[in-house]
Amino acid sequence: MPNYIDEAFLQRLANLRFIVKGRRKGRLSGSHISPRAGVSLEFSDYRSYTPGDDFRYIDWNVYGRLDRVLVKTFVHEADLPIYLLVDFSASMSVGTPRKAQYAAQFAAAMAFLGLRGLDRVGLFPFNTQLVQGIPPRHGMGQMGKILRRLRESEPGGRTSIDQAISEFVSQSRESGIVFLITDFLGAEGYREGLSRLQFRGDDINVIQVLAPEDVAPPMLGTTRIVDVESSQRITLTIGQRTREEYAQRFRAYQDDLTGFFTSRGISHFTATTDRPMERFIHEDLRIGGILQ
Amino acid sequence: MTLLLPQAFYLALSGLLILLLHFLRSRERQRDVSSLLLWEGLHGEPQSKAARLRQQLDPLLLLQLAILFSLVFALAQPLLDLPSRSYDGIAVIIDGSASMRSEVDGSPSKYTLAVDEALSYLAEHAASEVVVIQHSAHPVILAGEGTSRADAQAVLRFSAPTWYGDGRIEDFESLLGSVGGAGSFDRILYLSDHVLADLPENTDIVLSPRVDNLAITAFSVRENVTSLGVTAFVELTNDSEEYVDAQVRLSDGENQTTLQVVLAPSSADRFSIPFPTSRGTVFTARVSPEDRFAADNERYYSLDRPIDIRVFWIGDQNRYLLTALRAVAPVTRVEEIDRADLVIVEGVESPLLHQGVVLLVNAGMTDVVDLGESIAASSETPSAIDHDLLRAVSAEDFRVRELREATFEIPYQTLIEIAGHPLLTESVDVHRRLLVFTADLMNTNLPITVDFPILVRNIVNDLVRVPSEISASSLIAGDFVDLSGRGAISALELRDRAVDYSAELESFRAESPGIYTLRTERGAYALAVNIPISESQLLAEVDDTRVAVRAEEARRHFPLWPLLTALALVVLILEMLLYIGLTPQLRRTP
Repeated sequence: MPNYIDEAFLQRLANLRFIVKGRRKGRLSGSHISPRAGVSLEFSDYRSYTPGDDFRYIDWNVYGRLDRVLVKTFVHEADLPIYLLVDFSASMSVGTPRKAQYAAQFAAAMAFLGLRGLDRVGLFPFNTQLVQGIPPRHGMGQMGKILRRLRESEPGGRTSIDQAISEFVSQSRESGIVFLITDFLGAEGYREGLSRLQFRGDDINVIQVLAPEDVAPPMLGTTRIVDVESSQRITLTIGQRTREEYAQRFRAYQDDLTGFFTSRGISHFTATTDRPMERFIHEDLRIGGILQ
Repeated sequence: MTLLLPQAFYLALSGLLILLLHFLRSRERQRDVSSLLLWEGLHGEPQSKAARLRQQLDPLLLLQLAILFSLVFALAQPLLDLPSRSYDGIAVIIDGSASMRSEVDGSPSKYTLAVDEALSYLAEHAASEVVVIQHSAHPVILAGEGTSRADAQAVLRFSAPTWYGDGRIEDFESLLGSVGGAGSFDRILYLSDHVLADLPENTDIVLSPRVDNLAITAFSVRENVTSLGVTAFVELTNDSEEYVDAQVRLSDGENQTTLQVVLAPSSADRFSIPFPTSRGTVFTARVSPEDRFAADNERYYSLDRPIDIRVFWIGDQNRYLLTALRAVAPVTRVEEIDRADLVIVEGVESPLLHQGVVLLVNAGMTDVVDLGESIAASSETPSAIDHDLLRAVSAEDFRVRELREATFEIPYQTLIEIAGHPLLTESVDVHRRLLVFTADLMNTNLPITVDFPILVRNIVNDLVRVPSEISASSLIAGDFVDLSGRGAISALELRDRAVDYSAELESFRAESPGIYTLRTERGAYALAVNIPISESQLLAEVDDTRVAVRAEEARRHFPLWPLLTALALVVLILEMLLYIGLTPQLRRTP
């Protein structure tokens, strides 16, 4: 059972926190500014009194001067649900370390940051569909559940991002920060699912985890290439020319992905498993405006 | 660089097996990918021959072959030749004793091997001066002070081992002292098959490999007293770790006898071999099977008597008497009475003879003895006195039909008489020994009795084949042999080839083993020369540690096999890391 997070790693993440784009709704008090007026020390605005308002918030000075009954509103600091959608399809078993392990380690780190910021964090492993998701909850007890689930999850099955997101949206109606962690190398589509999340108002962060051999396959000679998800196979003689052709295709595919995400305003980060996790979090995610 | 076991390179052929397995495996190569999304539609490489070759250059294969060749090279035990040292003076002491003639694997002899070692040592170590000493019981300086390295190498190449025994440390020190002493040489190289105690500290020892040896380590022959023939005494030494079924063949040149024995490992056993049919003087003992040191498989022994009997015969020649003489030793008829060892007069009147040994058989001699009328004695029994000439002879068994009455003009002693008449008498004076047999042999039963040849042998050995004053039964190669006391020397031969000797000093040095024949005016004598017993005795265990260290220093070679083995291990680990790191998907392939 892999140990995804150690004490030293956590210490180095301690000063990070999520950056939330705009004001977001939240059910409970948290560290993120909510569009809802609430109870706090920071004054927000006035509004007309409506029956049912708390008399304590009527500004009697204004009533004396203007003869209007106005109620003071304050900034409401709300929590945010953080959803971790982690791909555990068979394609994530490729690489050294396996992409699934890298993805799980990243998800664990994000869960730690969220729970430490008093946010609710939920984990939703998926392949063709969601597999025993953990609804978002507060507290470090949730951290244990998430780690246990990450350890128990083994890559297998095919990838269907659209199907998984569809199930996720139906299970979790509250929008929040969504981390979609996958390799985007499945044959099934992803655009419809992401569109649904965006429509619901989720802050979407796509983390694409790749193995080095996904980027540049080694020269192996005549090789039977097997798709780990579909078990389909083709036989190719891989040489320098084939590798160059593959590299062109890969670049085109990535450009297509990036174009889509950019057009939708979705944050997109690519990590290869040979890149240290800590550097990825500290450099890529901070520069990308996800953490501060 | 030197390879101690070049045969190990045959193991490199197992690389073919690795290649075969690689090609068989390469057909099953399979790689798992995340998705065929990016692979479908790729054209792949053209299946040209060159491309296939490129595909087969798997780094793991190269590393496996590298591991194999590292191990094979390590098994070949390579020695790295270190840079040579330069010395002012080197003394090469090479053992030239007989045991250095032993054959060893890959070389004609231990001596040749030692010469090769010395030459390579001199080739590796520059020296302004080299002294070469051949060490043995009679050590010699082959190359003295002032000899260049090249000349010393030439001297070594043309040197040959001797048949002498081992040298002593005292001779070693004495000879070194004559060329400046051990301290005047930077290094001393000692090449031998044994280690001398108390060698100087600056000595590099190179020992010849030990070889199994089957040897005759003692050999002597004694004439039987109460019967004809001889008895040989042989000691056999088996210096090996195995039982040996040995056969000893004893020969006197005409007749031979054998003995079959089984010898225990590392043992020496003594045997007595009866040889009743022998009538020779020179004996050869040979043990088989022959081994790598053949010189001690054969040893020689000679009785201290002349080789043959030179007889001057007057009158009739009785064939029974001649046969009895030949049963004692080879008989040579001579035509000059002065060269005869024995004069036999039979059936006729002999003129007066003044010297030598004379046997009168039914014959008289003028002014000495006169034979008269015949006397019948068929019913009488002879009687004998106690005398050396009659040892092991029973005169009572003799029967005489008639004998002749003898009248002596000189003093005589009756040895056998019959009816008061002498049958056999002996007269001795300063110049002459005279034996008179007063009957015709054909009128007696002597020719058919067993005692007659013994009587003849006693007469010949006691009166004719008198032992020489100086024993030469078993001489040692390298000894100076005194040839005096056998009369004026006419020739000295070894295997029919003349051998140099000092006529003035009446001596010579026996350079090699064998039967030397010394011809003098008093007859032919055999001189048996053998290699020293010490060359064949069981070898003592050598202090291996001390020798090994010094031999290693002498060679100045650095063994490379530990480095190669470590290299193979490192490459093996590298291959494992590479295998784990580069081909994880291959490992997971079912």
